[in-house]
Amino acid sequence: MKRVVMLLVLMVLVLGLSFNVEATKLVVWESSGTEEEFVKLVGEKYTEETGVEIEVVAIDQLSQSDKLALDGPAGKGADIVAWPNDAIGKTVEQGLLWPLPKDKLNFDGYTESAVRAVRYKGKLYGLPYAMETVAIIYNKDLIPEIPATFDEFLEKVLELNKPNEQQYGFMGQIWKLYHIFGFISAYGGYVFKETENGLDVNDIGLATEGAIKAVKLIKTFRTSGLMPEGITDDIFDGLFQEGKLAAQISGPWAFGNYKEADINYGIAPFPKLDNGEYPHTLIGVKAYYISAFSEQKEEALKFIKWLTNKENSFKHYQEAAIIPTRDDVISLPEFQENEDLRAFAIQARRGIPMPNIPEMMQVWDPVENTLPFIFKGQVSPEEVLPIMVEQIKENIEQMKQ
Amino acid sequence: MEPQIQKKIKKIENRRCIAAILSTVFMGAGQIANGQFIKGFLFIIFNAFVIINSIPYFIRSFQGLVTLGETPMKDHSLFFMVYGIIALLLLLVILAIYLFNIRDAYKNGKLLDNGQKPASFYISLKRIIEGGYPYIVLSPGLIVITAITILPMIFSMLIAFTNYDLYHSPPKHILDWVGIKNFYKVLTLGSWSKTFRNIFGWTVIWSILSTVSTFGLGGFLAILLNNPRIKFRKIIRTLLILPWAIPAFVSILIWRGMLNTNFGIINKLLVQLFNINNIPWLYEVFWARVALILVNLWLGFPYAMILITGILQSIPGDLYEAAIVDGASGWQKFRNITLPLLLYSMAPLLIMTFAYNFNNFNIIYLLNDGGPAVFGWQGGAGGTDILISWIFKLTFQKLKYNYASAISIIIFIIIAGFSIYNFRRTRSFQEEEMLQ
Repeated sequence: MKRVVMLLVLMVLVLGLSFNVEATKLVVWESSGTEEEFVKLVGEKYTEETGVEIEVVAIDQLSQSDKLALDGPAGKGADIVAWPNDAIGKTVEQGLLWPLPKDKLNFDGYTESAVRAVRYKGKLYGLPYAMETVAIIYNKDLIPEIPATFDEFLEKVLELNKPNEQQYGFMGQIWKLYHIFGFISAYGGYVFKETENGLDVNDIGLATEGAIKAVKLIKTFRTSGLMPEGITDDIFDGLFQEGKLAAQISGPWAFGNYKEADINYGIAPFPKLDNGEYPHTLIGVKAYYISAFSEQKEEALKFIKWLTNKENSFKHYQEAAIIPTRDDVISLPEFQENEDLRAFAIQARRGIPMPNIPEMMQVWDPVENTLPFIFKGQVSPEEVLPIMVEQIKENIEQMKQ
Repeated sequence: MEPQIQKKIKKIENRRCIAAILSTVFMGAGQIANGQFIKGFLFIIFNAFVIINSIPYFIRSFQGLVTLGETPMKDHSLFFMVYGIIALLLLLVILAIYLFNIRDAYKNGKLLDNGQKPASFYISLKRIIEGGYPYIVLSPGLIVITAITILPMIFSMLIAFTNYDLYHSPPKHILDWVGIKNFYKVLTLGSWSKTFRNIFGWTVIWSILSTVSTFGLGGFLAILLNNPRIKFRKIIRTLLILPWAIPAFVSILIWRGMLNTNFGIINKLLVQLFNINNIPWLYEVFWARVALILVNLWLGFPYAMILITGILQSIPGDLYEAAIVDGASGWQKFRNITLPLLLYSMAPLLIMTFAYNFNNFNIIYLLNDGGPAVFGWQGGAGGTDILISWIFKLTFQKLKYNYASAISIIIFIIIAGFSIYNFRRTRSFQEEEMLQ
């Protein structure tokens, strides 16, 4: 008898507790600043419409996965998290993300390359909301417009390049894969071969004929005197702000400073290379994901679908100056008027999503370590790129041991 | 009659053993047998409530430490490890109390055997408070140190014996103990061991050269400026201290810019002065190492200079007066008075600086990020990486937590070895030479 009473009391307690949580509350983690403010802003509207409460906690995107790995199992994690797509593989391997049910999603209107960026091993893990890539930022006073082909562009900047007079033509972080991948891909190189089941880590395309051709082209930037040894992003960023540099490879993070420095800058997508291809640069995509530990996954899914719909995506662009991942927003006249972002959006739509598999971590460094040897002329690309690929494969192998 | 008395005495003499055994069986029993009821009662309460109740907790925690969890996504191996370590530390505390209880029973039993009365509870409490006062005051600090230093240290060391890397990350996976496999791999696996040996070699060279160079220059300037014949000594000293007064990370980043091959001011100066080619300061291993040592010298010599100035000024002047009376030359005074006394005081400082430079992450990371790259080295290591900066890269770029931890243990052993050996030698040095 006593036990039955106890059980009843317990049941009443549990019911009481569950009544309390019935007013659904979704916890969202976002970087502080414009990102956090945006979710807060539209979250209020969502609460009005649906009654679902949205709580936004400011946690930097780059530290969210570490925090979720600890807080999630303890039941203290967020329902919705956000980070760049290149961390998807790592976080899925840690078991942090819930694969979204494909049958409940509809990708009409989303940019195709951005949706590809959030797939991992054939499954979809998030809804993209912003993307980023590199393009050419140029000084309109020095070079009024970017020619239609890359050869013409090179000719032009070489004319403008007079190191003795402290005038430079064209610079970029040519030792970093992210900044030069456009050339490699345009000639047919790739990092990992794309297959139906995701990227094939055993097929690395950084020593293919195309990749070698691209690296040779990039080497001419050094040998022709455009980009002397020792340049860093700080240096050419400074030169650009002083009006001493005509053009550079850079991303949307840079031009805010140029506005302040009163530089008459312009932004253009990369021109066509000599084989008629546009460079397909690597794009980083930011997306919302649902925690594997969330107890309200369906509710969370509804919210992030709403958060990335056309209306909110446009609002996000207005509030935070992001490049939306929806073609139907990019084609709006209000967006097309924004010359800066339009150029990046064109380049991003031509882009290839940054590989989101954790093996990618083993690629950046070997490339960055190998290219300087080639630029110095100590080794030829044909010789050293295959060795580099072997090294990457060895690293991947060891990573898994 | 006589044997009876002896028997009785023997029986009495055994009280210490009986008390000790009783206390071993159940805490406090021995104290009760000795007639110390309050103390015994407290121990019994401790045993009955704390120890017996905590047995399931200890079993659970140690099981967790051994298995590191069973259900992925629910059990987090790292938590199990931390809880296990906490249980281990608590067990040590309980063990200490337990041993104290046995020793106490034995000691008081001995007093009774010798016909003395053990101290009353009030008096022993008073003794504890009086005699143990420093320990009581220290204990909060010790507890905090255990929690924030010793616990994380044991934790990070234990990682070296697991398979914690990206593909075995909790919560999706349960970590496993792998024994010394990580050490074995770091030290023997083809390119890893080659990288390790190269980086270790450079770490040692770097530690020696950076220590010797700063103390050499600092000592030279200190001795020079200690000469009363030099005018404006205070101003010169103040000027020389300046590099040390600027926050190091700011000046390192400025040096990084100044050392740039084509855009740096240093090469521009050198080219104009000596008409040589640009020196690739940060782009070739040899020059990058030279640059590191020079920048470190610039940063570090003022500190050495101040230290040595202090030591020089503490050398009693009458030694020199006596030397002058004996007709010693300047060099002889330096050679036979200044230098030995200086070296004697400086030896521990040198060792500390050596250990500091062995782990001097800041300058390596900020000046050139460990670069330039060396083809074929593993784990993102570059030509100026020392062990500690390599560990940083391993942990944050490769997510090889187990290897990183294994290498930190190796560093720890090396540094601890050096320090212990050197400190011991310093003391023997002091005892032999100074007592003459």
